[in-house]
Amino acid sequence: MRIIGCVNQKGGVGKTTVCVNLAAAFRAKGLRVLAIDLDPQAHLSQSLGIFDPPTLSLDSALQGDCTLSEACIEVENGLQLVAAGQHLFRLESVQMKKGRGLRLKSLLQPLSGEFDIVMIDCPPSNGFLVVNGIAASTELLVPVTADYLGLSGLSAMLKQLQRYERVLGRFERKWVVINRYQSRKICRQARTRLQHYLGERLLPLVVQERAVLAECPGHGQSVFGYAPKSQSCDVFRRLAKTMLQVQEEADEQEQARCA
Amino acid sequence: MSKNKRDVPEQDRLGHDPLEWLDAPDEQGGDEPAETQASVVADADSGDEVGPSPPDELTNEAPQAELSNDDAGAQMAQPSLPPTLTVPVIEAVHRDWQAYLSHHNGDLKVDMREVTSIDSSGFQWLVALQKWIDEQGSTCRVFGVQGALREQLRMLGGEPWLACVEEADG
Repeated sequence: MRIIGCVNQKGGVGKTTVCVNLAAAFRAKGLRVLAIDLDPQAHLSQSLGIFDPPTLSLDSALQGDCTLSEACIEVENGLQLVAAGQHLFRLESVQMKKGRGLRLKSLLQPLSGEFDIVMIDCPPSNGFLVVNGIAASTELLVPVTADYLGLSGLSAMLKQLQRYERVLGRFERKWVVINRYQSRKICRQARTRLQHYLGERLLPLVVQERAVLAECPGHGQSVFGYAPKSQSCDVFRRLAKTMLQVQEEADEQEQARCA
Repeated sequence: MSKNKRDVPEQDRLGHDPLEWLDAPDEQGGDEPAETQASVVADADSGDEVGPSPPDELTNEAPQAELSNDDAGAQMAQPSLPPTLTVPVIEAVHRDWQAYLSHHNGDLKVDMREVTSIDSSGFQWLVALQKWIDEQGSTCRVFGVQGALREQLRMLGGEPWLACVEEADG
């Protein structure tokens, strides 16, 4: 089971947009996908049509009141969601003690045979929730905007992830994807700079700033449901394909090594 | 030093490069030790930072936004008091002791040996603590009060209250 944490301390880069649409893209390819809304703002939940917090949700599971399986809701096209819950914001201020960062990881373990991919939408912060999101992830996806502040935020995030890796070990993959891209000189220069520093870690496609991506959350749908023929939908389809191909190639290499 | 857009070359719209450290030989992000938020991910049983591989044992401690009633609390150690029982810290002290007292039964001994200063908020907390223990049918003994702190308590609470403390010391 691949667990992909969508993370960036900087707010407004489009973590939720990337998370929900990649989850839908993976689902459209026939994979069993679970989306987890770790952000107390509950934007991932709303983006998938859950505008009122359900009875059982992520806050319930994190506090031991239910399992993650019990909190799962089927949303668009068979995609499963664990909604944030109205009390998730209280957990953001939970005092961090050793071991508390592994709560979500332990909750996900029983689900390893039920899903192919788990997408976790992390909040733009540094507390209990983000620690759990990162610690539970096998791969990380960092959306970034192509401007100075976006690069500055990415720099801080990468340094933070290095600290995590000293404790948790290396993540299988750390992806970066340029989001909210516009046809401006600064965006082109930022993209060039990111290609220089990140190489293959930078996903080759950019997600352009498009009205349809801003509209579909209000209708509780991913772009796959709201505008399946849009350019944005095609970009996420191709991004998902790239992320799956890399995994397939890695699996083939591993099999060849074992043979 | 301010720059005008007209002075900035077309190829330098980005300006300062916050990612240049990635080109450094060892690509280290900073001098900050690993004892940061990441270290609290470590296994509760290990005591120290976890090594390169993820821990085998995972805690099932369910965090509670409010007071917890889980079994782990039954063995919670009594929180120590900070050197100053004053306004800036009293809320955190109250929170820690509230969590401890939710699992504590019986008499209570409050160790004041490390406390060197107290203000009215700290004193009110002590009085409330004693009153709460008293309502549970138990006794609260405050001991280890010394030096200038004894005088502060006398000013705040008067002789009748201080008599309880002196009794505990005796």
